[in-house]
Amino acid sequence: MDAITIDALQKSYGNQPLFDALDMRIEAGEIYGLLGPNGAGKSTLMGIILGLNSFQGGSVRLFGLEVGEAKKTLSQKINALPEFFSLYGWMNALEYLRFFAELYARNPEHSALEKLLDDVGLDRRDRRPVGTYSQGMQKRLGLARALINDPELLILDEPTNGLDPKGRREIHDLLIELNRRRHTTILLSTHILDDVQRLCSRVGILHQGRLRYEDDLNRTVPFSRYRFELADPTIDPLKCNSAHLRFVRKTGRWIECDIENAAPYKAIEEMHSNGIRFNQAVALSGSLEHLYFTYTKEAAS
Amino acid sequence: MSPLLRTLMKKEMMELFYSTRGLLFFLLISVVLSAFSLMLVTNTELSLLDNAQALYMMSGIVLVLTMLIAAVYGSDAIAGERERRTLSVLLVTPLDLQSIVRAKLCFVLLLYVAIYLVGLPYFIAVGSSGQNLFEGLIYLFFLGVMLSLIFSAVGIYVSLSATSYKAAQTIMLVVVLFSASPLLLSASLRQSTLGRVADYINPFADAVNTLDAVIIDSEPFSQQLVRLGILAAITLLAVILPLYRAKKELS
Repeated sequence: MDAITIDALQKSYGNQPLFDALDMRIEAGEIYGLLGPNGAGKSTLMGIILGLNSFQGGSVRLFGLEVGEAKKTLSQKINALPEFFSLYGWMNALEYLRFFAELYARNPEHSALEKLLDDVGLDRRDRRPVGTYSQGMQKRLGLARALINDPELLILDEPTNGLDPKGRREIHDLLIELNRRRHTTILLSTHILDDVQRLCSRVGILHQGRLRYEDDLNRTVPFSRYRFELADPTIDPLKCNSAHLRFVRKTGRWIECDIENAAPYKAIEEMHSNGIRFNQAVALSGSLEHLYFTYTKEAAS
Repeated sequence: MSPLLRTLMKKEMMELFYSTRGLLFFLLISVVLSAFSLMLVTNTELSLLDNAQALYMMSGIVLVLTMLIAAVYGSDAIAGERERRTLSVLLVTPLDLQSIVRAKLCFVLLLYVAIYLVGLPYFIAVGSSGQNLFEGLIYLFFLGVMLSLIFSAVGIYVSLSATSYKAAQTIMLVVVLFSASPLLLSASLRQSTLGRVADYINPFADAVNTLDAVIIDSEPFSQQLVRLGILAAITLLAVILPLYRAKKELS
């Protein structure tokens, strides 16, 4: 079943068309990465899906229900984290979550709210007003709020923007866990290509009112490029080649390899079994970037 | 009242008591009423007023403050939430814009009740030995309810359409000034046909004239029906406006 079905969507601002017969389908249970340059209409599209923005033609359905006609039912199934949002600065984190839980007619146990704070990496004992939180902490609390109704569809606009690398990793893990355990469908809009590569099963590139490219991420970007610092620089780099890994080049202690996205851990295991040890690995993820520029440039020209 | 409205109103109340703005409202009211009470005792001219006139003047002050607070709160209701980026998150929940408008209107009523209760000891102190205190208090309560609804509803309507909170607030301050303008007109001008019509369609003038008739002139309820009817009609129209606009609203 499709979580999101968009058919021939048309939206314009005055005489300026934004979407021209946009079609899009997101299956239930998948993590979909929506890419596109600034002004491509990603946030507007998310607003339309959430029923916050109007549109002139076409249809938008969530779980088979028309957006705008089943607001009450759908709002219990979906939730979102907008790119820009504010918290009620005078509340503490638990009060904030309880307020939203009550809006969803839920009365969660105190411990359930504390667990939610743990999940997003916030201190459950912190009773400071959330107005004093850093940007990263506010983002985490926003995400906890977006999970308050156990949504079947989660719409995230730049969810890791403003987070430190550790915070990003934690949010990645949380979203992957959510998707695996509860089969939560996630629509993710971001400019951070690494987020898409780590999280998404499918990717779409939105540009000039249309979906210019859409495919499974493993087909789109079968390999990701990594750079490894070898523990023993004298080792023959061709020994790296295996079923899931291709050697590209060697520069001093560093080698660059393409690792199959479908089996990154197997590739690492194969390196180990071929006697290759490394001190550190750096993801370069150039392939998706190349694809992104190709489709946004082609469309522009 | 639905649980959603209750939750939203609870949030509004907490916000008011946690914010300096809310506390300032109440402080302003008690300072103004205390200052006026003091003037009634110490000022030579004001001390000559009888109790009914003093009560009438104090009621007018409370109505002006109510009108001002309702207008300011109303203009902030949607434009402020939008500007503070809290509105979109609320609209993702089962709340729709119309429910938010309803909750804001209900909250303004609660706010007025609080203002009325703050003023009550002052009214009793000033008017206890004069005529029509009880009637005056009853009328003041209901007139305040209507004025707070009218000005907050118009404020919310403006707030729904305005590009910014500042723009909404400026428009509402002009509306308040315009509504209070009969106070600045001379008696002869107010007695002219134009003045009378303006008095009838101006809710603030209707409220003040009703209080004048009831507290000072001791007129019966039957003679207030026209003004009260007009006021009730304006209230109804004003409340329908933002609710209708909210139902239609999609960016």
